[in-house]
Amino acid sequence: MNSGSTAACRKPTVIMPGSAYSPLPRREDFHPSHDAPRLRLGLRPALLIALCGGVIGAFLLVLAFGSVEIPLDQIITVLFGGEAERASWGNIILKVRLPKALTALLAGAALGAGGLMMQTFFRNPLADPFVLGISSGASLGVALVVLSVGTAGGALLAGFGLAGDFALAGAAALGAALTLGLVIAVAGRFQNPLMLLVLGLMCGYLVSAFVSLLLYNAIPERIQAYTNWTFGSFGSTTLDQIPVMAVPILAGLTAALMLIKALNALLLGEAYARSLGMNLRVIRAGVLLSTALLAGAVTAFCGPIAFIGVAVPHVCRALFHTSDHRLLMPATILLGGIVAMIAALIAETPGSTNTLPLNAVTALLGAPVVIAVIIRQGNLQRSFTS
Amino acid sequence: MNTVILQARQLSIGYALPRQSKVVIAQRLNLQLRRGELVCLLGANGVGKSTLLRTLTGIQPPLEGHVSIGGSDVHQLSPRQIARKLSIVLTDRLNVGLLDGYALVALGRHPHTGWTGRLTRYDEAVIAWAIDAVGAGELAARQVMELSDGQRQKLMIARALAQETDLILLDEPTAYLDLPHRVEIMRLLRELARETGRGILLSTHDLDLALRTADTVWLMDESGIHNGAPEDLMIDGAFARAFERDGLHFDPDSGMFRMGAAHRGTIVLNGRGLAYTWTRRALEREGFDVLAAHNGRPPIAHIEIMDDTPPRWCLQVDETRHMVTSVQAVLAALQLSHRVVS
Repeated sequence: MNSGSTAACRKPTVIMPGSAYSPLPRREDFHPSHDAPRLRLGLRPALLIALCGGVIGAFLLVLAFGSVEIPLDQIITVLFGGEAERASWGNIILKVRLPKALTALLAGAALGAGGLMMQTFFRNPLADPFVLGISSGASLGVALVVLSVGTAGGALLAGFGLAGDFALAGAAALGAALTLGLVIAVAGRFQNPLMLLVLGLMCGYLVSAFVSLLLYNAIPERIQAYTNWTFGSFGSTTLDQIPVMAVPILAGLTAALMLIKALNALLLGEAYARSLGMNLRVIRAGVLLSTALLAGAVTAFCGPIAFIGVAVPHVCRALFHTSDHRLLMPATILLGGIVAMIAALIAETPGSTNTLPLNAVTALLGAPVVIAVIIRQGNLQRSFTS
Repeated sequence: MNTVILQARQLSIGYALPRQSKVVIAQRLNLQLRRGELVCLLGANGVGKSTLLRTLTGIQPPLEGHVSIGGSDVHQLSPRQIARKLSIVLTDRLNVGLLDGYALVALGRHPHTGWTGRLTRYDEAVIAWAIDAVGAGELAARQVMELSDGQRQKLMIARALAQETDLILLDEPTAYLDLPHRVEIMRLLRELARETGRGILLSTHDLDLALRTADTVWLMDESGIHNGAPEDLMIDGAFARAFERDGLHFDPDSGMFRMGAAHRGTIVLNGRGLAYTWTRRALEREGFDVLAAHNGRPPIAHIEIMDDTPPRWCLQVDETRHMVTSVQAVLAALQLSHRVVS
């Protein structure tokens, strides 16, 4: 790279006679000793491998447990394209549990990555993928469909049956996309991230006010339908819909991985990031767009899933004891997937026919963990860039 | 060795706000910075030092004129190209999160690495060299947030070195530091300029240290930038003019500020050694003119320092004689004197 610049530095250095200090070795004369400081990886590769194992384990658990008990060997047979002893088992695995596991994996990974990007970008430990107002936009879309359409619309939804879920997803996606457009437009005008944060918050209030108005005038069944959506669910995606959900999420995750270096530079603040050769406009657009894609896709298919986006990056920071996104980003993606799948499993309450609201499960499961992590760290300031 | 790294020609800095007339902060500046040179940018608050630095680093466009770094116009270069020619260190107390010293310095390699930021063996050698050059070897494995401000600033300088740029700009790098650390950082910067051949430009309010370490001073005031060796600016009175304020007097003889310009009269002081030097300082601080023999006008007091250990001060105020054993007691005796109080 630097044949030019280093050649310039290679001119002999002049040390003034009587100079009090010992001369520095020149760059090219300097040979680091074998015990010179290096990037210390410690237990991290082992932890990363453990996380990969955790993803596979959690995936299998989601397939293995549910309201119906299916033997493990039967599950494996079905997964590899074989016939199960009972036809219903094959159906349950392929049409219910497999889409659920995939949805949870994708959604968890997306929320983790989005949360990490937002926390670094806004230098705020409370930021999550929804700070941009994505979930507010989506909830308004859903509320409009569920609550405000007249009886004809209601009949339409009822007529769709299962496909009604897809209509909800469409409404949520539209709401999220509109919010995204708004965010990008606003982000172009206001360079200060704090401004975006406040605007996102205000938009959220505005939208919930609209939703409240709609709720206030709606009939109870519609309110129930809307409330069910806000609980979040990994179970309403069909196998056909998985690719539709996977494309934006995989695109967002790819972008997040490409932004690792920029996110590391942002740890030093925007001024330093710029001085390190980062194009702030491009980075800002990249971070916002990919987070919006991730959050939008999750909200459209699973509803507003709280908590995972805030909590998983914190847990990863504590686990790996670093803010370096080269480790943090893959770790957050993997752990996000694991946490979401475990939450899906618990929400299913294996062995019973009951299900629990997903958002309650994630918070019940996660909040104590995060509290413990933060208390053990002693000081959020130290573990965080605010 | 005398290659010019940074050059500003006919540079006018300021702001061009939409729908308003331009705010010109300084105009027709001609500046240059050479390889191996340490330049201190001095000036009162609000005189435009930050604007100048922002313009020189390409963040802010100039109103007129050009800035070139290593021969190319900085305002035509992409951020990545600039990052290979120029690195910066800022005042901010950074909260970088969970990074160790090594990872912080390694960030300096960003303009040279690919999109993954993976470090080659060459990169690692440069980082190790930079850490060694600032003497931060034992800080590399420690968490940045646990370090003192001075240690952190050393690592930030190592990061700038690792960036392998010919020019390093520092915006008040010593602002948060205590005196020993300020001296250490300034000495380090001077050493780095000399021995790595980099050009270093730093803005500072630390006049005394700047005068002792800078090869060249850019002294900024409302009329523009006076540039030259610190001693030359002292001799032609530029310093005194730039820092003249009410109640504040810049003394070119000592290169220091004198507070309390109020003249409270003359004191005749005789003595030798350390006790003499610091008694004189104390009296001047209180606003007295100190002479060795009176020059016609009757002095307020005569002070004779006895050469004992510990020293004693023989003090004659009006018709009263005091024998005291500390500078504090000398000042107290002067305060008691009716003539001084009135």
